[in-house]
Amino acid sequence: MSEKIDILISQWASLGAGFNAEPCDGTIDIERLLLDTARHTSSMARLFIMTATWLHAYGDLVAKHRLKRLIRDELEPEFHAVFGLLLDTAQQGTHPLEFQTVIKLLKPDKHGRPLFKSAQQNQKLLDITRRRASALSRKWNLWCQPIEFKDDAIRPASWMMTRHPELIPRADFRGDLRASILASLRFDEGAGRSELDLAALSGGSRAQVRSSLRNLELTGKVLTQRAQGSNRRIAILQGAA
Amino acid sequence: MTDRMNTSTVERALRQLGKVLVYHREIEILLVGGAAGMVTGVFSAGRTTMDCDVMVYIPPDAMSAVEFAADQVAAEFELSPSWLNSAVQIRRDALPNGWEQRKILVSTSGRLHVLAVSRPDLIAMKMLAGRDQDIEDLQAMRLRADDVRFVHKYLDSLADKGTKQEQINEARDLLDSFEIHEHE
Repeated sequence: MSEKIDILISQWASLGAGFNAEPCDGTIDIERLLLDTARHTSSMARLFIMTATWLHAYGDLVAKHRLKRLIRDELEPEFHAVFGLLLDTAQQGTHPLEFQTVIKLLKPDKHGRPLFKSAQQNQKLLDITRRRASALSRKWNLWCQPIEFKDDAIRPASWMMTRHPELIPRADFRGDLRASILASLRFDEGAGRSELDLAALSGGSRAQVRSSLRNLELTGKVLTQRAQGSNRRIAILQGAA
Repeated sequence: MTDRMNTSTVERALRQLGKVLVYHREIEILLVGGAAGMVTGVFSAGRTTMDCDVMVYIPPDAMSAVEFAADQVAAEFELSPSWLNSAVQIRRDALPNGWEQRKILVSTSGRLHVLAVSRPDLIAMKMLAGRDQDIEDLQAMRLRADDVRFVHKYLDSLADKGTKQEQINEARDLLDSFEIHEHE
């Protein structure tokens, strides 16, 4: 558990979340990192706070269509409420609400419990946590105190973009379907095999994906070509992406 | 190991702060919160964040010079412009009595002496703050009977400093929920 959290922290550090940890190398699958964070954040309040702060500042970088697809296909139901609370916390104060379309897929915890394991050590602590719980955390049935964003612990965007130039198009697209297509081509095995596969893995409809691919080809981020001996069109990520 | 691998970003940033600082006499700053716990080895470095809460400047009028230097370090290390946070200065009264005798010298760089609050002071202040991350930190610190006595005494002293009774009671309630550990 501790080792997994250390890996998550080093990935978040690489994205500019101000943990005192060595940032990991390589590209980062932001959407899967978010899912993993939801799975493990109950062991570490600071991970929750820093992720919410990062999402509040850089939510445009999240590929929303792909995130919704990953929630449906990969996120275990027991973490849906945690993820809902994380995204809901992050979008407070954003206009329009940045993650509202994603949050619609998520439901509050059925039973009600503290968000963090530290609050589950004994009945007294549990009672204190329930009493101090924020309205937002009550909405998700996962009690925690109001979260204050730690803006003073987030690296500037320039630092992150220097390490991760592949995120620049995501920022340009503000996380729309084109960002999901690029992320799927980079991280989801078989995404480029056909338009149909790409639609399934990026979370868009086939018509939406076709239209987005045309735009991505125009700007040199993706190349589409007919597969050998087939009517399928394959999509290949280009250097500009 | 290289220097980069041995020391945290915060420690390197604080040393650089002393190097770029321009002031006519010696300056002391007192770290509180997570940064204090990290630089004194009370907390695991990787689990803390890079922001530094500074509660005391000696002399007080050195604050603007330190903040000016912190801006330069922020640019050089690509940290948040507010990585060195002096806003906690207004809560100086929340420091436990006698903290001056317990403070720990962390580093000296140029004319800047960086100090941090001691373990019992940190425990007392975290108990009063009582946020979710403070509760985690307090559990990781494995409170001992002497820590609990110290915090009780601290909470007793707060009413005279103007802290609301409700907040003091909340902290007492939280303190009572902690398991007491033997000396290790």
